Amino acid sequence: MTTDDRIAPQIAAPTLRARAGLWLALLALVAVVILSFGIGKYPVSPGDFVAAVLARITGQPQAVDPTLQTVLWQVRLPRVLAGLAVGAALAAAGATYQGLFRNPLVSPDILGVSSGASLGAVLGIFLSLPVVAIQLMAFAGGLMAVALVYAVGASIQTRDPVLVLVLAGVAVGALLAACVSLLKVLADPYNQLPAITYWLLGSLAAVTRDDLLSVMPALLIGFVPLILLRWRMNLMSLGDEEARALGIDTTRLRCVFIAAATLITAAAVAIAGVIGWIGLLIPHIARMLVGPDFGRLLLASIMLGGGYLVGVDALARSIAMTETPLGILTAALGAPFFLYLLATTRRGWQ
Amino acid sequence: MTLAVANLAFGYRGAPIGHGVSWSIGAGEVLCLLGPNGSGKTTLLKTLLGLIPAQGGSITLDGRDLARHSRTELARRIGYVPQAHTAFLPFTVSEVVLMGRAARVGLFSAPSAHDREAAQRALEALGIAHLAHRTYTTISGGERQMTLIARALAQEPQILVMDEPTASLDFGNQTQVIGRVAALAAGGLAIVLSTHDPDHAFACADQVALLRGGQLIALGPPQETLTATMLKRLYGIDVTVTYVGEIGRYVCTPSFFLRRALRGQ
Repeated sequence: MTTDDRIAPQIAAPTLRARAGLWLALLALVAVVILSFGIGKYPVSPGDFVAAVLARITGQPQAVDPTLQTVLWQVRLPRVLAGLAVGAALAAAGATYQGLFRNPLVSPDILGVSSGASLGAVLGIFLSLPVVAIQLMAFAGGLMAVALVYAVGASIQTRDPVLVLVLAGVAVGALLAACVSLLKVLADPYNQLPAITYWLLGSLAAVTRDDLLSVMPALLIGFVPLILLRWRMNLMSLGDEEARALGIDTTRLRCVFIAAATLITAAAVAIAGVIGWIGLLIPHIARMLVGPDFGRLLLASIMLGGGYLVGVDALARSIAMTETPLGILTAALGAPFFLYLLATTRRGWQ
Repeated sequence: MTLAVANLAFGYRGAPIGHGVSWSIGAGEVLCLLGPNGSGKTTLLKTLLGLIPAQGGSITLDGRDLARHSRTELARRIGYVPQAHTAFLPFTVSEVVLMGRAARVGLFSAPSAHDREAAQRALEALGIAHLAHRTYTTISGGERQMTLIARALAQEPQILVMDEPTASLDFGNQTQVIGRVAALAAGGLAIVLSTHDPDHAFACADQVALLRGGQLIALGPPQETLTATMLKRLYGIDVTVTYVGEIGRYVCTPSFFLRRALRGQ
């Protein structure tokens, strides 16, 4: 017994490296957030930013330039918060799907959530609906697409339910993408087409505090089961049969994980449009930092995903006269970095 | 504890694989399943684990139908050792073994100190406590197989079902695994395992079941069942079965003299 007591706490306790990885992710997140408050058409030095924060906390806003205040709290704060929420959601959904489908190349749109949301939003733009309605259609479209894929997958009797789901996702995604293309052809090329194109490349420029508040419930409802079921997720990555032999009701658990990841992805896409690569790339980096355990992976993905999108968004509003769409930047940065990771390290996977 | 199979038909809906299988196994017994490739061993074992529904007949655990147990109940009583595989994610050995506790860990919980102790005991029982912090994906095939056995032990089951635990292992590791099987049975576990080597059955089994084309062609103690005639029927090759006094048991080897015969011509 004494040996057990002595040795047992070491078993599967987070290693020093994993803990250091979590702290590193947190540090990067804080640094990026502070820097991004200062970047843009109206530069703010980190010192001024800290002074403004202190003034706001101590309740003495008159000590700070009102223009600076407007820029920080009215313009940049909503964007930073939106970046954090959307980046965290996409990265967390990516980490979930990669474990669930046992494939490192899986991204949150594997089951068609992005295609569904795109069709919803594009249809909204095509019909010249108000912004709120477009967001709602995007959200509903994402959920409906995944529900359709899940229903098709579940109705097919098979020994490999996961593979069937992925294949159904590919097929339904292609169908929805065709519908989006059709709407682009039919859309008014001067008014609607640019709006559609911009939406399909993602942006945080127009996200308001109200937008953020309206998707908060969906984000929370999605994140809670992921956090609660974090240890069970590890077992899902063993594959269906092995997980079942270990006592896991895989069908039900998979359904919960897919619903949760879909909910947060749809919420993110509804307010920010389609932003690729975050859900694919960030879980890789997180896994290298903290290892494969889903509890730590989820936490690291949330911090890195949020920080990454906030950083990319700061870049998007500062590298050119007009805002660069986020999807272009995340792909331009993400794809080479992904290749670099593939070439230099296999640690995350082997 | 009794795991009884009676007139079992197994396979997939629309694709039956075997039928008419009956046997019974109790605590401390080893049943060894032999049969050529494609004879249905793996499907039969999966049916025993409740992973595939039985297509006919019955499987009962202490008299109660297997299908009436929940997944959690089954995982607490039957441990599963799959063939040594390369996992998808680089978990540590101790993380892999801890997963054996899933049926005893609350739905929203992570493993407790008690679970970690059970995992530690399982590692020590197999003599691989030194591997605890190694990465599962980087250890050898033999070490992976031991890890998977430890994971099954961490389930604290009464029955172990092992699907070709010696497959793709070298000669030394095969012997180690079969030695562990015998030791675990001596400790009171009931074990059902499949293998391709009749010698393994001689070394550790109380009962041998010979499966061909999805049907049992023989069931009984190794020395009565694994005769040259039966093995010829099973695999279609000539086999010599001899008693070796030094080790006190029968051994079995293919009886071909190919090189000598060729040289003689």
